[in-house]
Amino acid sequence: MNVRTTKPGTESTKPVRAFFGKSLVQRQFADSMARGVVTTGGWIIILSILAILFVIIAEIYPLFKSPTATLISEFKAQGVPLAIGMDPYHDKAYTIERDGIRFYSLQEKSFESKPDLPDWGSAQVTGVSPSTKHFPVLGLSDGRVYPINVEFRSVYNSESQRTIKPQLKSESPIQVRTDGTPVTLLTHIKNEKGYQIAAQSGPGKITLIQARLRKTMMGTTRKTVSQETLTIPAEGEITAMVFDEAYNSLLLGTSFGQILRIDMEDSQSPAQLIGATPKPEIGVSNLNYVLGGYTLVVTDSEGHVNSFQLQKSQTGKFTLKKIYEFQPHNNPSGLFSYSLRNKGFLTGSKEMVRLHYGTTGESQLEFPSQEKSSYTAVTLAPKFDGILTADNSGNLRRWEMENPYPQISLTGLMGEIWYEGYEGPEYVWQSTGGTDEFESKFSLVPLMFGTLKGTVYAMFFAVPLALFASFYVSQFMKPDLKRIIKPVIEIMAALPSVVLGFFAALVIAPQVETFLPGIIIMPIVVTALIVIALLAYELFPGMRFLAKDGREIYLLIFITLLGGSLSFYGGTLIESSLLLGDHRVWLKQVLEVTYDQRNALVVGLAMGFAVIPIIFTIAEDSLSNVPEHLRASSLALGATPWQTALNVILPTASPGIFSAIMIGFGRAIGETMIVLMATGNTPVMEWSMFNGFRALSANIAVELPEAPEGGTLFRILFLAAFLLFAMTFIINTLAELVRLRLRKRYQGL
Amino acid sequence: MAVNIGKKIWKRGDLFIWLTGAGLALSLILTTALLMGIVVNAFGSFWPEKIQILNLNDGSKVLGTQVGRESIPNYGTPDERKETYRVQIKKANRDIYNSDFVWIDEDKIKIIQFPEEVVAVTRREWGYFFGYIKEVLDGDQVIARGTRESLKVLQSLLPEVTAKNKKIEKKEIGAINYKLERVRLKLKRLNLKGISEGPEVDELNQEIPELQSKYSELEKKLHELRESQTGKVVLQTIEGREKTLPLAQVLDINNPNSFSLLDKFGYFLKSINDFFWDDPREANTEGGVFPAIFGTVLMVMMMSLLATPLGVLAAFYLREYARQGTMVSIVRIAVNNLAGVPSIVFGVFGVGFFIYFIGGSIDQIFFPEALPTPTFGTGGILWASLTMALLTVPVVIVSTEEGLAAVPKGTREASLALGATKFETTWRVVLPTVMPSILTGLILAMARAAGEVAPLMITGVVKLAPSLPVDGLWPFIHLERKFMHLGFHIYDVGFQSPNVDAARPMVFATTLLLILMVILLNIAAIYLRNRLRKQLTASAV
Repeated sequence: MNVRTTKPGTESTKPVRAFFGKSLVQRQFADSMARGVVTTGGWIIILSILAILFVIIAEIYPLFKSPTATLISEFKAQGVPLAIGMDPYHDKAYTIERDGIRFYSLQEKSFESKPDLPDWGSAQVTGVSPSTKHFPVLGLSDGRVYPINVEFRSVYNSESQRTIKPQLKSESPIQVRTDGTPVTLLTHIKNEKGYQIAAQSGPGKITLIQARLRKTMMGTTRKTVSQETLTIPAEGEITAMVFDEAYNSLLLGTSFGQILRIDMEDSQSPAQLIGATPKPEIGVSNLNYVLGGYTLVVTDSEGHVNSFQLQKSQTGKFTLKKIYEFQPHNNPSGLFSYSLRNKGFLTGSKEMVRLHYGTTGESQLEFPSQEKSSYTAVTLAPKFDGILTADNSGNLRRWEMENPYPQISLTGLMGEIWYEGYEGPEYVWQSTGGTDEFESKFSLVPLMFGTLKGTVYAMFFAVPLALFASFYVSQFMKPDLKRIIKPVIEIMAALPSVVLGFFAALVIAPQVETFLPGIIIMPIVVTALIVIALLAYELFPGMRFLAKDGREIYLLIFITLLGGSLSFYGGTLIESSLLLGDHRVWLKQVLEVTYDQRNALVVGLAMGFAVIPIIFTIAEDSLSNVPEHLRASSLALGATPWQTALNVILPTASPGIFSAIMIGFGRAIGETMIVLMATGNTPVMEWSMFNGFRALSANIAVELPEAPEGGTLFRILFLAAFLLFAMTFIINTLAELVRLRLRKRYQGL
Repeated sequence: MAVNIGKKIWKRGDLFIWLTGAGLALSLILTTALLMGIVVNAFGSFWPEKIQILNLNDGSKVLGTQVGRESIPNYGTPDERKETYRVQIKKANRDIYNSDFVWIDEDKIKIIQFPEEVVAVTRREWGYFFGYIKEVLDGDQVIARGTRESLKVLQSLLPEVTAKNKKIEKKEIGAINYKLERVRLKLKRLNLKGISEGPEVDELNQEIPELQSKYSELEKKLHELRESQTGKVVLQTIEGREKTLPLAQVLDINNPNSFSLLDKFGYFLKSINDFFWDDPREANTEGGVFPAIFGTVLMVMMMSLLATPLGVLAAFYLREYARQGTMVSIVRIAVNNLAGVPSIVFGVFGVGFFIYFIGGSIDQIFFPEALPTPTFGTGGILWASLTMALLTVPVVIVSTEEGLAAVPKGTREASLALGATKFETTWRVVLPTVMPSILTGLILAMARAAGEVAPLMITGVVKLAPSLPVDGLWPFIHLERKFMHLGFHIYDVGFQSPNVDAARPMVFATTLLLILMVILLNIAAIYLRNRLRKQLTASAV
């Protein structure tokens, strides 16, 4: 070897590459530069790891921000508004006042116009059925009802700035009280086919008006109006009415607190009592449906706000099922407005307006009235981003609301919720539906359940196999065989999960379906065969060459194969003799379990594949690393290898085995492709091993590409990712800490 | 005696030892079965199958290859169960029969024949055709009749036809479309800046008609080419129905029943070759997987370029430069754990951060003309590679750190004692020693990236990409493009395709390819690591 002496700063015999510089200063400069680069690079990585957590949390955070509302503007209307409405951009508003309709500009806080209503005469407004869809119906003092159709048109100027032009579309009044007395109580419903109005036309009398729109051949629409009057033998006065779209009926509330139903298909049949307030003294003050027409909100004269669902029994009898009690008002609450976007709604008494959410039963915001004035009208902005109120001193007040994710709350995500059309509260995940009025059901519980179920079944299969295998390899196998086996198992760890998933779904699933009984009896058969083989081995010493110590594996592979085929054959025998010839039929008839081809058992098997090598490698490491002198002393004291392994090695390595299981568990929780491919992905909550499930991870993979950025679903999927992250991170950290302690312990030994 | 034996067994624990051994045996058997299953099925899909004619008892005939056989559950009356099998026959001719497969009970088959003149035609559309060749036409003129003669003629005609069509359709027309789109975007960009007139605009405006005329020229050329290709082949099904197929529709034609072993082997190799280099056809269920291979390799390469330097830097920082303390231990644990965080979580991060945050910002600053169509604000190969790099960085860090820990302190101290600075020591002494560790880490990272699908599904993989992320058009590498991936191909073809049975061979072949890729990478890593260990033990002495 050449021995060279070099001093800093002197030239070496070999020319130094320019890269390092020549002088000491240059070299030191290079050194500090390198330090800088390495440190920065190191920190970039460390920070980007933190960034993962940060970005995910930043996406989740808005979900849990409490809704806020700020008062933006306030100005005086000309009269007292009895009903109000506004356009989606908070630009213009209309008010129904005693003498007709007026338009105001919300931005400029000023009166804009008072359009003429044809055939108005000298009537006064005595009752209004308000509408979020800008189609209020007025009851007039001369016994007529007057539907009003307001249209907010967007007009763009040359600089493509938008202004809203409110307009009236022509509708004409209809006489409902021939005696000319005022109409005070009325309700209506509007859809594409036309509208229906119900107005009280005398004590216990209701007049129904049906206007149907039909497209003619010429492309114009023709309106046909029909009218009929019903007599309702109700106790007390009728105080509230609402149309029920789902069951085509009219619901009435009385001052004695009864809620009656009139079938519209057969309007002459007697009214049916379907529900009541707790006490007869409490009258119904308002009946309203929220968007979709399933959740009925009943407010009463004591200010309670309750939601109900109309349910039809098998005998055709209707009853109201109570869903939620919302935060009550102190006074009778007669004001109401529902959102056109979701299940949110406003209720108002004269001194308070509250925003509630129909899906979760929460009351989210409140808007107290100004001193000495009481609310007369209220409306939610069409985009659910503001509210407009009017009071008896003529003040119009506009709030802007920041409430993009109203249905998200911890109770909504984790608790049971009584969704529309369900029999009772349930955990449901159903993120998208067919219509705009669909109620998204975001319960993470079924998904977490699915993740857990898949993991548990996988561990069920993988833990014994992996631990047995690692125990055997580390303790009893000859080292030369071990050198082959370990890399083989490591390669098994590298099998892409998409391959396992595909294999599970297309190969394992049909095989499991065919050989189910055989698979179930296989552990027993193999154990029995091993016992028989051992006895034979002891009785006939001549056979020992088949299984030398440390090389039993050859024989065992043969025995396992034999046991496998025997149990498959035995399984078919059992199936034809004991299980009605088909285990699926038997399961269905005797155990009442349906068998899905892609089920938890298949996932368990496939995910077991993914987890076995991980548990094996870590467990084997910790078993092999037990200091050799422990084993040597145990053997020297006369213990058999098995006793040594069980009583000395296993307890010493147990923390390592624990962390191996934990890490395997962590891997199974986050596994995506296998559960995506080998389950049916239906979010059911059953422990049966013959059903599928939907896991958090698979759910993200399926739904994230379709979820609009920043939407509720998008953020909830981030929440799901956060849950996965948190779970695995905690589990892995625990396992890592255990392992570090173990390493210290070994060093101490 | 039996009791004694029992006691002996119990004390020595033989039973338990054997049981633990059985656990290992079962793991090994299952792994082997899985690999064998994939290998057999995959190679089987390249091997030419004999085409059978099944003469049924009712006098009808079915032509096809057998693909499966199973016992019929609950066959016969309940009192008298019979063990009977049925076979699954691939009839092909999807355009005529509507479905490719049929199940036939074995006891309904009278006799099976393997006539030599039956041909299998690989078509551009509608999958395979099994039947007979009646004649080959050029225009209205018959050039060849009968199987043998026709095959000879066809084999000389086919390659030429296919090559010409492909070139014009894919390359040239695609290029012009791309250029047109770019000109349009440039115009829009100028417009956004407020320039709607001027020399720049005029120049661009001139380009449009030029390109358009080129386009129509090519279209005409293609049309003429199609016109000039008057070659047709008249095929016949077993029922005698005729099907006239233009030669441009035919990719390959042969009669497998007459194959000698050598022919079969040739066919086998050709199929594998086609599988590697062809584009997918028929909703990915036929053809090759070249775009998926390309996408996978490119993604892995980009991932490596990003992950290796960063991972190595981080590892050097943690081991060589940072002060060892609680902070570094925490970071180390965090890095280790990051390797255990589910891959889908990385994907979600990629979507939130790379695609919507960074990609969205890039779009607003550099590509406002294309909005609202996103350029970088949607999944693409760059974002997928970045996500994967983040996913695999811990692997590189851990492996490099392991290597650094194994470098004896004395080596460093010797270098420092000779007057080298820390950087010189690191660069000249430590780095070469840990090079194998870095390589091991890199290879493991590549293997992981090649096999991972879940994060890609949400960051830019598609089932069918119209163009590769690298092509001959400026700027040559299109990082914003979506790409295809072998793993996703398996998922898509195996689960999303309308005709899962027909897609099976394709899925198995793709799976085998992916597994081979991953396993080879892993074996390389294991080999390197073992060599490194030996080296280190040798040098420590």
